[in-house]
Parts: sequence; structure tokens; C-alpha cells
Amino acid sequence: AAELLDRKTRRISTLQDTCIAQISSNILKVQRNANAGDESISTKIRDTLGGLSTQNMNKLARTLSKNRALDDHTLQLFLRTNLHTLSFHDCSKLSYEGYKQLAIFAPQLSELSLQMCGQLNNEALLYISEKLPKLTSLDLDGPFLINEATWDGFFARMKGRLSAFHVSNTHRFTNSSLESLLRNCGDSLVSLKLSRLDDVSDYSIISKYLKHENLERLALEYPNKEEYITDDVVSAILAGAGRNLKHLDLNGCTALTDTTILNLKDAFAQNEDNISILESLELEELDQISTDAVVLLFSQIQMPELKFCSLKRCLQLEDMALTELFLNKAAQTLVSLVLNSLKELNGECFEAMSCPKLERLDIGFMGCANDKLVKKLGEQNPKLEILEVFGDNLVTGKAHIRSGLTVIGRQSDTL
Amino acid sequence: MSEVILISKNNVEVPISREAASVSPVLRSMLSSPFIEQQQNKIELKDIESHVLQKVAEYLEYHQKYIKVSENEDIPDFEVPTEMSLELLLVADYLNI
Repeated sequence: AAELLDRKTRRISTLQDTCIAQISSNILKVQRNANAGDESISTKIRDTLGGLSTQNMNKLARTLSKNRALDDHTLQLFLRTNLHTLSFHDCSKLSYEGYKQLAIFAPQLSELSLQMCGQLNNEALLYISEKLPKLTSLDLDGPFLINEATWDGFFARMKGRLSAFHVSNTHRFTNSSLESLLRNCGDSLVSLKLSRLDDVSDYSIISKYLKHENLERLALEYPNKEEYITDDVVSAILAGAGRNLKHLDLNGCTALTDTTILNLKDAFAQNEDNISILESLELEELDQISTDAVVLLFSQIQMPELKFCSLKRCLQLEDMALTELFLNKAAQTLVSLVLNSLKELNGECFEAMSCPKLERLDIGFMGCANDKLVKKLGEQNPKLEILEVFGDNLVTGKAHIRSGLTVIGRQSDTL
Repeated sequence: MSEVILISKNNVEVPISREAASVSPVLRSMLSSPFIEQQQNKIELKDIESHVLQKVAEYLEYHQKYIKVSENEDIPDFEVPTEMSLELLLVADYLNI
């Protein structure tokens, strides 16, 4: 980025680009020489390129995605393997033919994550359900070519075996698609994530189907209009399946109020000793929830498993809310905490803070953050590795930073 | 010009100039002050096979050599052996080069 600002054009290609160019051109070469029906073609490609262990496959997938180099050619590297899980973080260059090949030649897959899968079409999705008999978990971001009829057909085929379904960023996933998902696969679902679905307005049907106690992860994020996800909607789900949740994520459901927090408390209060098994709790941008409600939640429910917590932009929260969190058993297990933009804090809560396992903390855009606080946080949290302080203009170059701690986002730091 | 030694799997030592090593942001950080690598001038990269590390060192020297040439001069392509390309890609990603 610095080079871009200096108006220098980069003339030496990176070693990564060079390698990818080499890989792509060789895949083309091998493909051209082999017969179309040749079973060993992918093996041949991998052997020519020096071979790779199964463990390194997902690492390779990540590297290719990072370089935006995952396409139908490089996809060949992942075919005809014994891979059980595969995550592609950037599928934007994969054509529908590519997805079909993946479905046909990677039959062992049980967990598949395709991010930015814009070219995934109806035919390819049905192929996936048909050709991958072991598939139980599917995560799709941006599958906007899939229409209502196909979603319906897909869920009918996955009936009884889909345990995790995550979908985000598509306007063609409708109320009836959601209904079809729940009707067909509701009994087996352990993990459900619905994020940024512009055509879903009726979330109330979730509670009608998801009553069972196996639900571990629920994520409802960023509805098209805030009134689509109300306290009533969330409360009905929590009442049925809440007490066994391990992951709850309600980011961007801005219509939610204290009622939801209190219902959450009540759901966990059914458990013995008022203990929750929540491992992650994300309540970003819930600007209507108050300090009192959060204090009540953290004082009455112990969360001895909580590792990740985000209260980003819960703008009303004051020190008491955080103090209560730091007095909760959760303080002993937290690994990552996001307090970005909590502008009402004046810093008193950090007196009570001592989190032996905390590694990451975000205190960006928090008026009370200053050099003294940075020093204190480093001292009180021995494992803290990364502290984000973006937008905290009182954190200066003079701040005393414990060794082993990286502070990111100070104005005084340059690249 | 001081020298740094990169150590691969099986303890093969690959010497390289400090300037060239600094092409990789990862190695550059390792060679900065609070780390032990800075005093010893040795960097252990025990996950990397020696022939791959040789190639990495070759690239770092190549990058160092041609980064300063003027606009009009030609830069030769860096050759990557086909059979090494997958492994080298993963290492290049790790070293951010």
C-alpha cells in the first residue's frame, strides 16, 4: 500500500504470484495432454507439482483464495482426494462447471464452505446435494443465482442429514426457502446462520420448527429491516432451544431491546446452578440494550465456558455492565473481547479486570482509552497479545507497552 | 553488508545477506530488535525443506538485486521448478513474499 501511495508501480512479481502462474500453466498443460475421462488426471497434476499432504490442502486453499487465484484450473488440485472438510474463502472465479466437478470428484466431503460463490447456479447446487452423500454442513456466502425452487429441492434432498446450514448475502433466499429449510431439515439442524438475507421478513417461523435441544449455534444477523427480528421472535426461539446454545450471535438486529437480554437470562436460569454453556456471545450494534439488563444477565448467570464476547457498538453500556462481566466466571475463560465504540465507559470497569486467558482485546473508539489504560491492561492480563486502539487519540507513542503485547491502531505509528 | 543464516529442516544452513532477508516482512520483523534472531543472526525455519529454502533465498537475492533497476531495463523472470511450486507457494505465503 505504501508503494501505491508513492506512485511506484510494482515490477517484480511476488514469489506467490510466480508460483501460482507456474501451477496454473502446468495444470493446463497436463489437462491438454490427458484424455477428458482420465481418472488419474488430478493425481497426475499434484505429482507433477511436487505433491501435497492432505493436511496442507486447506492451507493451500487459503493461500490461493488470498491471492484471488482459485479458479477452475487450480480447483483441479483439490479433486480426487480424501478431504472431509474444505473451505474456499474466495470462490468468485469458480464457474458452475467447477462446482459440478467438485461435487463429482470429491465425494468424501462432509463439510463444505464456499464464500463469495456468486457463480454457483441451480444445477450446481443440486449436483452438490446429489453427489456428495456424506455432506452434513454447508456454508454459502453470496449464492444469489439460486432460486426458490432450487432451494426447496435442495432441502428436500438434504432432509435428515443437514446438521449445519449457513447462508448469507443473497436476495433470492425467501420466506418460503426458510420454511422449506426448517420443514425438511429442522430436526437435524445443530447450527443455523442467517445473515443479510434481503428477502426474508418472517423469522418467527424459526421457533415453530427449532424446538429441539440439540441446537448449538444460532446466528441471526443484519435483517433487511430491523423490525423483522424483534424481541418476540428471538424470545420464542430462546424459550425453546436457548438453554443449550453454545454460540449465540445477534449482530445488527437493532430492534432488540432489554427484553431479549432478560429472556436470555431466563433461558439459562432453567439450567442447574444458573450456568450457561455459551462459548461465544455476539451482540454487536444492539444500541437499545441497557446497562441494567446486562448487569442482571452477568450477575445471575455464570458463563464458565465463554471464550469470545463482542459488545461492539452497544452504545448505551456503561462501566457497571463490564464490571459485572469481569466479576463473572467468564473472566477466567475469555480469549477475545470486543468493546469497540463503547463511548459511555469512563474506564472504572477495568479496575476489576483480570482475565488470565485473554489474548485479544479491542478498545477502539473508546473515549476513556489512554496511555495509562494501555499499561494497566498489559499488566492485568498476562496473556494479552493484541490490543486494538483505533480511534483512541489519547493513546500516544509514549504509552508503556509490555513486551509480548502488540498495540494496533495508534496514530503515532506509521507503516 | 552483514550476513544472516537461515536454517532449514535437517539443519542445512543457507547464508543470505541481511538486506535480502529483509525483503520478507516476516524475516525483517524477526531481525528487528526485541527478538533473539537479531543477536544471533540465525533464523530457524525448521518446517521448510532445505531445497525449498535454497529457492527462497534465491528469490530474496533476486528481488533485492532487481528492485532498484531503472524503468527501462529488463528484469529476467524468476524460474520456479514445476515440482516445487506447491510447496514453495505455501512457504512464500508464510514469509509474505
